[in-house]
Amino acid sequence: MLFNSFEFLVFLPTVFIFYWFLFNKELKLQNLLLLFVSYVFYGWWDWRFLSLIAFSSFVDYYCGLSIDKTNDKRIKRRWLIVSILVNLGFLGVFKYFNFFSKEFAETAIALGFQVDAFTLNVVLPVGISFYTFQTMSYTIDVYRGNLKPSRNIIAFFAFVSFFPQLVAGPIERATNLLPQFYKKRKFDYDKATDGLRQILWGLFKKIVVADNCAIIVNQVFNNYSEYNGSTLAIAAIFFAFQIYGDFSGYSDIAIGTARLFGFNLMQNFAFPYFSRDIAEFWRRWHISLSTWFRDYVYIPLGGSRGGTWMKVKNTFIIFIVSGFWHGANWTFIVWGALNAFYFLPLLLRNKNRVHLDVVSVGKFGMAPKVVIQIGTTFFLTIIAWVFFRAANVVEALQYLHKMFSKSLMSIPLIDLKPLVFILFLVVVEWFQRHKQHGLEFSKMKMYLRWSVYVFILGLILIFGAKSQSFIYFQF
Amino acid sequence: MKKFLLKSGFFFALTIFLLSLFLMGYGGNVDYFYQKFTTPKTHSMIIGDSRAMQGIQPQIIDSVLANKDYQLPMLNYAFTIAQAHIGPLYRKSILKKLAPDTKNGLFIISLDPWMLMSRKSNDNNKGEFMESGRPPHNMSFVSMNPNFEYLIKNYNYFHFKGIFKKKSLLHKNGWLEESNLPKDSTVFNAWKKGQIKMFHGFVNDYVISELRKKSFDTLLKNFKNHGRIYLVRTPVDKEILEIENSFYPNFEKYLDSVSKSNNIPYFNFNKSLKNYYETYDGHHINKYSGKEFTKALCDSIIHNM
Repeated sequence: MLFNSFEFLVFLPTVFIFYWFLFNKELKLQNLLLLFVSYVFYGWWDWRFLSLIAFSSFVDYYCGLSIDKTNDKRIKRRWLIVSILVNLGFLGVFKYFNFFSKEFAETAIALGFQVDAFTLNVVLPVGISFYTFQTMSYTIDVYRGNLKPSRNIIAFFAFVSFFPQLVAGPIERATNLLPQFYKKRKFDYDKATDGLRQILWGLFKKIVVADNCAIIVNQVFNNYSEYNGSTLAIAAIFFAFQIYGDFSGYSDIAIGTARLFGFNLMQNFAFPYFSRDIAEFWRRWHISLSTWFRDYVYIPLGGSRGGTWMKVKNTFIIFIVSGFWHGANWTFIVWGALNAFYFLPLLLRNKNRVHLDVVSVGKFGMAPKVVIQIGTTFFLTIIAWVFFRAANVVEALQYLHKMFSKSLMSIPLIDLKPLVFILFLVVVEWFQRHKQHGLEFSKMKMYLRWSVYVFILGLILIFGAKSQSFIYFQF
Repeated sequence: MKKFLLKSGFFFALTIFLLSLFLMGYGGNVDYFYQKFTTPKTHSMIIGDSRAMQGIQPQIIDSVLANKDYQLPMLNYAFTIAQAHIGPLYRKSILKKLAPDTKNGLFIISLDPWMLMSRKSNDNNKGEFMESGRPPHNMSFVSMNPNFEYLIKNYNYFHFKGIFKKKSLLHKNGWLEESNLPKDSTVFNAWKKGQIKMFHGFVNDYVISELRKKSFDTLLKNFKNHGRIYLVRTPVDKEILEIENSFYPNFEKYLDSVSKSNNIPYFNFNKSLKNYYETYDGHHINKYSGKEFTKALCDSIIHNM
């Protein structure tokens, strides 16, 4: 079920009413309802893969308890490995098997062997990369002693399958989300209304910005050889906003929806295109994944404690793994590696934690230096996004080659209307950059607030492009 | 919670109210079919595909035949070639839209071979129809204003940006007035080429359906109980006509036999290969020629009353 569908428009208020009026007597009922509706939400897409979530939940629940039951470190470790193997096994079979099989066959052929690639005819289950990472964080935290294992199977299953963030995150930490399933939720007016505002802003970003950009982006990237440099450059910029509107829009809807049910999810995007360097960008983009890799991969590998070589090696590992997490394609690996290269100069000069504050705090505009910093960072991300979007690395290189040709100075050959929506998005988010989302109001008169809501709804209705699936569903 | 429900309920009601106002004011600008489902049931109607939807203007029929003994006004209940195939689905919707107390209605059926075609892969006898799931076939309520059923089921058909350009307008009487006409012969030729390509595609992938023919017969019988029927072949440009004649070479014979066996007048405006009515893409008569064509159609009706 898509957030931008009529099914969800009916589903959400129905669940809301049931949750707060019929199932609010006790915690167990609240969790049971959430578990049931989350499975309905996921099953709407393909009910067969519910067994995968249920199995993954059961394995991690059992592993968590088994880790806690023993004091023997080796046995604890064994249960952790079981959990990780099962989760990564799912990912391996459904997401990466065909990639490795094809690569193996191609390498063998290149070495003179006669090998046919064996591929599996399987559909990638929606959201598998998200919920497997979420459940892995649980067993790892239990193993580390950061979290007590759950003894409440309903709460645990509801935590794994919690419908707002099940298919595209934020990838929640068990330490943050699971305890919220142990306490009966009470309705909070301010939280719920702000949740609705965040949903509205997320819908705007997805339906108006991302889906309108998608039309141009698909047209240009699929026929890039027919366009001049300036058109390719604009399509690349549009893609930067398409993926931002799509993914951060989804996160906003997910976080807002969770708030309606009394839950707090972590912020997943903190206005990343206002970043002054790549390090800041990665602190603001897909925060739940970046911090996941930091906590569960980078730090265990030694982080930045082992000298320059160790820092460089670990940085490359997490960026490449992060790229590979997005999909089994060399384009994602190159995208990850490219970001690692961007990050490297900052890391080597110990400048990767310079910009920790919000840009130009308390100021209306920004200083020329900041404009250059933001512009440079945005430019670098755009180059990387070309690899992310292209069908393969060769096409990405050809795209960039043509983009930086003489025709970069010619007149673009595409509809530039999405620029208006992008500009609106950028202006609103600039003024809201110190907040959690674009429509977070502190104090504003009711008639003004309602006018804003009606205006945004009008924009969605009038300028919303035809409904498209979320990009991150394929990851 | 009470405050939240009250406020969000009120906001929801306000949104619905504003949306209703918008749809009532601009429904004809933002969707090609929406207004067909917002008008009351009718006593007289035009049936057909897009060439009828744009080419036959009900207001002209209403004025020319005002003194005749028909239960007017006329409603253009024609759709596009993706939806307006003769068959049980279209018939069901037509009967929903027809006022049951109609005794002296006027029914103009603009028929062409494409309206009798079915996809080769569809077995009509098993209920497989390519038009199912689209309006008007997915509509339970065809006379409701504002029509939220249409909005929910057919949201993707809306083009809300249309309120700014206002290039096409679906009138309350169901006539689609297209003002986006080709600026020059280059544009005209390009559009015509597109239409020709589309029809050539149909020739390869579709066949004439016997079930649709049977259903057409049933539709005629239904209409006969409510008034007078006129069969029309709406004019198109020579190139399109040649394609449809090659697709169904016996179409004329078929219409003649239907006309005779049911005692229904049949007007063929495509007798000569020369089309006297100007189209904007080879297929659809433009709004100016449509006026002349509808007048000519009215004359034919008067002579055959």
